[in-house]
Amino acid sequence: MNFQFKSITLKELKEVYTRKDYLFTMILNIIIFLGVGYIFSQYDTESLKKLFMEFTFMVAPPFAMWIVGFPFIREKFSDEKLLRRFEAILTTPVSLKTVWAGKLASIFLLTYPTAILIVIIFLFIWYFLGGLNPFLVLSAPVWIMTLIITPALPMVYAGFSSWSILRFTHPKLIQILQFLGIGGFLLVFLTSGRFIRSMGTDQIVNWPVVACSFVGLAILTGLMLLLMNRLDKETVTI
Amino acid sequence: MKRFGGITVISDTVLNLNKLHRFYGDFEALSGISLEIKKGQIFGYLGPNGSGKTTTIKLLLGLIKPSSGSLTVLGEDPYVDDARAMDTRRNIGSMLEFDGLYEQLTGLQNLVYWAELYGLEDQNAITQAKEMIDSMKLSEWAGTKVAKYSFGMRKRLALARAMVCDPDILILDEPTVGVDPESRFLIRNMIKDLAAQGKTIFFSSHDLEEVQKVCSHIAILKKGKLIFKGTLGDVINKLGRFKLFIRLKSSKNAYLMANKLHEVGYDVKKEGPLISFYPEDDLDMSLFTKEEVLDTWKISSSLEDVYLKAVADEEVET
Repeated sequence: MNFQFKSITLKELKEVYTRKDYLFTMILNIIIFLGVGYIFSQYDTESLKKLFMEFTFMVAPPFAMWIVGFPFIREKFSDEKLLRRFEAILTTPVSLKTVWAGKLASIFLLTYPTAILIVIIFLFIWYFLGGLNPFLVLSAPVWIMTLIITPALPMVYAGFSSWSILRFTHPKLIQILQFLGIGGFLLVFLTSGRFIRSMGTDQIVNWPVVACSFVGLAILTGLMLLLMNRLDKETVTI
Repeated sequence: MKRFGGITVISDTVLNLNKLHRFYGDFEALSGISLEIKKGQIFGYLGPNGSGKTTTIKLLLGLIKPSSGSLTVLGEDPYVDDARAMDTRRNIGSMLEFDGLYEQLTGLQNLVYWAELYGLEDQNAITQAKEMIDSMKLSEWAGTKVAKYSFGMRKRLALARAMVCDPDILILDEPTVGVDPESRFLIRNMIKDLAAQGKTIFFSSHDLEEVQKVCSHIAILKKGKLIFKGTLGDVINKLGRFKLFIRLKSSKNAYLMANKLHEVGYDVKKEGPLISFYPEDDLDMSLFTKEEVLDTWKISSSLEDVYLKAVADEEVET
C-alpha cells in the first residue's frame, strides 16, 4: 500500500473516530433501524415478509452508510476546499488523486461498520421478532448484494460528490448533493413497495441481478476514476 | 552542478521564472515576470495587495500553471505530478497565507502527518516533528489540539511544518503577518539560520522592516509587473536618496534657512533649530553660512522610503 495513502487515511480517521457527533450518529442510526426492522418484520404475509427481509437487508445498510457518511463528504471535501487546506497539502509530494483516494478510503472505513452493525441488528430482529432465520431465507446472491454491492453505492455517491465538490465552486453545491442523495433514496423506498408486490413470491435478487449490478457498479467506478484522473488541480486551488 | 537531496541541479539557480504571465479570466495578475534566485539567498518579494505576490507563490509551488512563459524550481516544472517532480517537491517546504493546519489534531500530530507525506516513516517522522516543535518553542503545546492555539502559535507551527522535511528551499507567504514581536523575532532568526546553512528562502511580505533585517535580495512587484529586482543595497542605491539634517544656531536661523530653501523649491521640514530635506545634486551650498550652522548629517533612505517611492511612482520600471 502506498505509504502516503495510508498516512492520509489514518489521519482522516484519527480526526473523527473519537468525536461525539460521530458516535451519536452511529447510535441514532441503530435506534432508527431497530424501528425500521421491527416494522418490516411484523408483516403477516409470509411471502411478502421474505421479500421485505431481502429488501431491508439490501437497502437499509447503504442508507445508514449514507447518513453517517454525508457529513464526512462535507467536512473532508467541501469544508477543506473552503478552508484552503487542499492548497497546503498539494504543495507536498502527494498527488490530488492520492489525497482523494485516502479521504474516500477513510469515509468507507468510518461508514462500513454502520452497515455491518445494521445487518447484525436485522439478524436479531428477524430471528427473534419476525420468526424467520435470515441465514436460511436469504440466498447467497442476497448476501453478496448486502455485504458488497449495495454498500459500494454510497461510496460511489461519495466519489461523484467529492469529484463535483473539487471540480466546481458553487456555494450551494453541498446542499444540492444532499438533496440528490435524499431524493435518490426516497425514490428507491417509494417505488420499492410496488416493485416488491409485483414480484409476488419470487426473490428480488438472483445471480443475474448480482452480475448486472456488479457490471453497473464497475462502469460507475470506472467513470468516477476517469473523471478524477482528468481533474486539474488548479480547479481545487483557486 | 549541485545536488539537492536526490535532485541534481545544473548551476546555482534554484528558482527560475522566465517571462511569466498569468491571467484570471481577462485580468492579468502577472505580466512577464522574470527572476532568477540562487542557492542561499533570502529573497524578499514585495508589493502592495493584489500585485501578484500570492499568484507567484502559487506558481512556484505548482498549485496553478502559468498562462505563458516558463518556470522551474530546482530545474523541474513544479506543476507536473510525475515521480520526478514529486522527488523535487520533497526539497521544498512552504507556508501559505492560509496555514491549512488540522484543528482536530495536536500540533505534534500535524507535524508527524506532514513528515509522513514527505516520505519520512514512523519513528523518523516523530523525531523530526519533535525537533521542529522544539525549534519553534512549542514543546509545551505539542500535545494540545491546534484549535486551541493562538494566531502567533499557529504561524510558528506552520513554519515548523514547512521545515519538517528539512527542505533546501522554503517558500513563505507573509510569514510574520499578525504575529507578536516574540514570534517575529523567532521566525526571523530561524530564517537567518536556515540561510546560513545554505538553504534558499523566498518570502513575500508587507513587513518592510523585517525584510530589511533579513533579506539579501528583493524584488518589488506592482500591478503584476516587476519594477525592481536586485540586492537590498542595489535597491536603496538606485531608488533611495539621502535626507540632509542641518542644526542651526537658533530657531530663527532655521526659519530663515527653511524659507530660503523653500524659495528654491525644496520641501523642508522644520523642528526648532533643526531642518531636514532631500537635497538634489545641484544644491547651492552658498545658501548656508558657517556661522549659522552648528551641525549637519545625512541619513540614507530606509527600505520603507524606497518601497513607498517605488510603488507610488508610475515611471519606475525595471
